[in-house]
Amino acid sequence: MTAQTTQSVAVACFLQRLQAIEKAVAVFAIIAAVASLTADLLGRELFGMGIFGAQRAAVHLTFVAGMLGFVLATGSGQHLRIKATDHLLPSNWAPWIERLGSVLSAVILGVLAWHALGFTMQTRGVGQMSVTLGIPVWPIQAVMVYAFLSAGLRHILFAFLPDLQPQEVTSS
Amino acid sequence: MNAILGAAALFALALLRQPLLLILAAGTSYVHVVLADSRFEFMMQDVWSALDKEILLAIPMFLLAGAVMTRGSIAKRLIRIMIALTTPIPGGIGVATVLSCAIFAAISGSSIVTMLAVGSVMFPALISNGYSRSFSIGLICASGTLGIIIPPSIPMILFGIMTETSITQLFLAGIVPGLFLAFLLAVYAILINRHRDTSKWDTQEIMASIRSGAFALALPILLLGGIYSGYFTPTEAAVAALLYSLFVESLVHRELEFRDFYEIVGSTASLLGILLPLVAFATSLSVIMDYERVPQAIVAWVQTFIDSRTTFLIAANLMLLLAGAVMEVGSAIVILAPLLMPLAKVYGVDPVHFGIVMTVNLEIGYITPPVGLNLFVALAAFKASFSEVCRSVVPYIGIMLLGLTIITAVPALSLWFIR
Repeated sequence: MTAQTTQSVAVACFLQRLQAIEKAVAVFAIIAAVASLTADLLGRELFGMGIFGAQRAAVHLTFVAGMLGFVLATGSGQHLRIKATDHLLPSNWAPWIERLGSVLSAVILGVLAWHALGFTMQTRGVGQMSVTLGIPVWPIQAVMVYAFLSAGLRHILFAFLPDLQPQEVTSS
Repeated sequence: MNAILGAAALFALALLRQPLLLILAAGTSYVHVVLADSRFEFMMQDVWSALDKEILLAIPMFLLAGAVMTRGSIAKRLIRIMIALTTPIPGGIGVATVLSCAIFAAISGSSIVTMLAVGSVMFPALISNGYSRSFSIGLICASGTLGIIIPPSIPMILFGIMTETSITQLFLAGIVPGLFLAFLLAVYAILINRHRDTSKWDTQEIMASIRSGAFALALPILLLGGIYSGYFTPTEAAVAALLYSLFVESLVHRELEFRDFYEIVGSTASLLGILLPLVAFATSLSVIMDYERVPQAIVAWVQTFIDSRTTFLIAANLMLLLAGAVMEVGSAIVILAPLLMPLAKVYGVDPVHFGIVMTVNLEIGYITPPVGLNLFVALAAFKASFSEVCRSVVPYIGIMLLGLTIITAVPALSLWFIR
């Protein structure tokens, strides 16, 4: 086994575990959002009153699930991409274009993460609260920072270890 | 000059195979920071605000309900009823395919889900009954597109969010155009197969299929009835659909286990991760363009060479058909709807009618090369070559263009239930 292959296996293992944790949190967030909305709907149908803050909680949970879903889609090659331009460059350039593309994706995600962090810190600084739930919103916004960083990390790893790059999936 | 540089940079990103979301994020950042008097922080504020809305809750719920129904046996049971009911009609299985897609479309919000759920059962049935591969593939690809025009519809939810149009009204407006397109497809299936043998109704089979699929049949009635009567908001309808499908698939049909559910929710999270950030960055782009009065400038520019409502609708249809051929439906809606809506209003087009026209145009994009999603799903699902799939859908593109023309020219079809 070459040094590069050993490295790839170790990194792939790390990414798999990270992906499993992110998936578990995203699944939990969606199930909690469903439970929250269900309780609200049943409360209104059966007792004539919904649960205060249930919809707001579901919105925040959906935000968390969506941002982690963004990372999951990156890890499994599901993001939408314009493929019409693929044939404009020579096909033997493809491996280098993919590497360069991964570096570029990581840079864009890094910039987004930096500014998302700035925005989150600003919100924290002014003490912005979720009005209905009475909790600070910055920990929820921080998931956005994490998501951009985690997706960026994946792209860096794909650039250096291209065999980790997932096959693109056509999604609905 | 800056605008040209920006466009060139975005093209370079596409050449370097960047995901659409990152191209959109980079473009939005460029507009904020370089072209407009804004800052990165404002863009992040827009991204947060766009995703901090209750109306978005309908999207994960419908995605999840659709995934549960696809994994379970609701589609199979609906199909059995439709086959039993259409045996006396020439080309009955073709008609059953269209009707199954139409009914499944009324409980799922997605074209791919509809096409896969019905197509995986109907394709072998069509082939084993002697229908040609070309007819079968084309029919399933085209009927699958009904998933986004017959409510509930995820693209309509996106349109409603991006243009602040009532999603309930959009859902109601989609019913008649969706059924009209299903009618056109069914008529084509009958005409092409008019010389085929038919058989009499088998009352026993009809009753047995209805007994087996009663819970599945009740779902569209519950959903559409709830929305039409005003009893459910779109989000409540989505939650009801999800709860009902979970109840039916796990406790009545016993087709769903906890392990399946975990995987279903995981894949729903990925789909959410594709859609929600697109909505967020497209909203930010729309906000900053509105602030810079870009839509107003576009309206003024377009008015210099388009002077009537009819010319505008023809131009919009051509543009949307082109967009549908090269863009995915969700991204086309979040990017183009806020730009076209001010124009539609200026030319006196009802916003709800325009939403339906836009959805039908992009629906046709599902079966138009080079990026029609249903074509690619057909490649994998039916083991067909790309050229075979493209040839198969040609007559159906013609039928749907006919339908689009009538739906565009007769707003009453779309506004039937809301006036």
